[in-house]
Amino acid sequence: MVRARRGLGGLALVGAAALAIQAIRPSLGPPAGAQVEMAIPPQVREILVRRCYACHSDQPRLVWWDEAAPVYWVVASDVQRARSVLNFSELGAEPLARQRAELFESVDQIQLGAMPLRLYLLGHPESGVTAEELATLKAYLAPFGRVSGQGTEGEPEAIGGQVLPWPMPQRQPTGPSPNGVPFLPGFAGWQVISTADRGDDHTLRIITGNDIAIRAIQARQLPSWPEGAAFASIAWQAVDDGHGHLAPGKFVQVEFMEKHRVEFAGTGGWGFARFVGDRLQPYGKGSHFDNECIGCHEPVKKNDFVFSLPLPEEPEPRGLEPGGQRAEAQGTGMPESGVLRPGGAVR
Amino acid sequence: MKTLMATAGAMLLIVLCGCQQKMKEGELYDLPAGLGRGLPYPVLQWEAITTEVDRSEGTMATLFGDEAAVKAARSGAAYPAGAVLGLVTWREREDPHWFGARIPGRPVSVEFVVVGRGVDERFVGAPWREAPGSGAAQMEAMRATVIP
Repeated sequence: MVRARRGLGGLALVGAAALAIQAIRPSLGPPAGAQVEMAIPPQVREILVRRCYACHSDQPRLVWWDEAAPVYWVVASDVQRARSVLNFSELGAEPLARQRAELFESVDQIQLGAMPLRLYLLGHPESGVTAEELATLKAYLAPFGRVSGQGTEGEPEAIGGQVLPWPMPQRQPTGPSPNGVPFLPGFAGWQVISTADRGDDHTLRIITGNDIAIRAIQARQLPSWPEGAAFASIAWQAVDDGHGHLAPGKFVQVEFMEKHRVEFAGTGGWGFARFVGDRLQPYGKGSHFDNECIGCHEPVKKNDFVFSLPLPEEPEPRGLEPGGQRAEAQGTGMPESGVLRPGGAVR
Repeated sequence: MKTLMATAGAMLLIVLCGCQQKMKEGELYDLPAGLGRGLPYPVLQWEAITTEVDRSEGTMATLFGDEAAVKAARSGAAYPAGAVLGLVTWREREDPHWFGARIPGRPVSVEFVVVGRGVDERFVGAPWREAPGSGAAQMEAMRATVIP
């Protein structure tokens, strides 16, 4: 009898505690930001509302089991974090290019399986984006929809039929990246690992890798990039000559990724930096701006957070040598690769 | 007890192996875009001068140069005689990692021009076979966009 009473007492205590913790409820009310929706077609908005707004909006949608603490605490923290990264209720207040970029990133996150979060899907199995919905989003964004448009790719800078490239007038940025990641001045001398025709932001890109990265490619060491590996993604506005022929116009930015497992442990072992425009203005506010970088790179975690698929190095690059001074005498074309931090000098 | 431990060990190994899902080469490298062997110059080891896209053809091309060519291109000087340019043209393919991007797919051609020597060789097909080149003037007119 005493035992049973004790059992009941314990149960009551647990019940009381369970009730008591319900009082601790972090607010999910609308944040202070301006409530501006994007001007998008209703079928696109419906998908976003159905699949994304539950967390990425000022109208969080919780099911009953989300409402009970302690589950509620996890959900509330997820929603707060989701909103800080992307809030569709407020995205309409941003410039159009930013809105477009966010939608592209959203599609990317969905198609690479990073969104909705796996844990969220477990609790809300019906929330996954269907293939049809994804196709609708892609068709709306239509990155390459305006083929051969008259100067639709960036601002036309073509003069007399010849596109004038836009060299950078200065070789050093106006300051370091806010997170301390250095500008790597040798990037133009690095080997090309890939190129990209970006319909989402109308840029052409060349991605180069330092010799540590190139050696890792040659040794087929991926997906794990070695310590010190670095990449530069150099972007120019794509200028269309009106016949679907795109050439680089104005320089947009150069972005770096540099691998240092310990130093950049908080961002997947990579230091991220971006230097924008002719003045090479460091991008980002505050030392933690790079949370945005790693957030975007998260879906390619299995590729060590690197988006680019490098061109495979041929096992025997020097082929025929019919002309004597050909392959051998031409050198490897990597004269500057050695400038990357000889003994840490650059950093 | 030994059997139990061996079983547990084996299970742990299976679980660990399961987590370390080995990725396919094609998920790690842009395999279709490789140039393979049989070209006269190690063109992908050279520095880039510029890159272009032809939407109507669905191709992207990057102009590379040997040391002399790159140096001239980046300083805005004329190419010295003997400098070598290499234009690699790929068919574009969708980037599996980035919606809205296209990256090099299957190579279409590689053209080499030796400036001032009347040498213009174009390589097509797989394996590479030589075809007459005709892009010398166009290649020499392409301006440098990669400036250190």
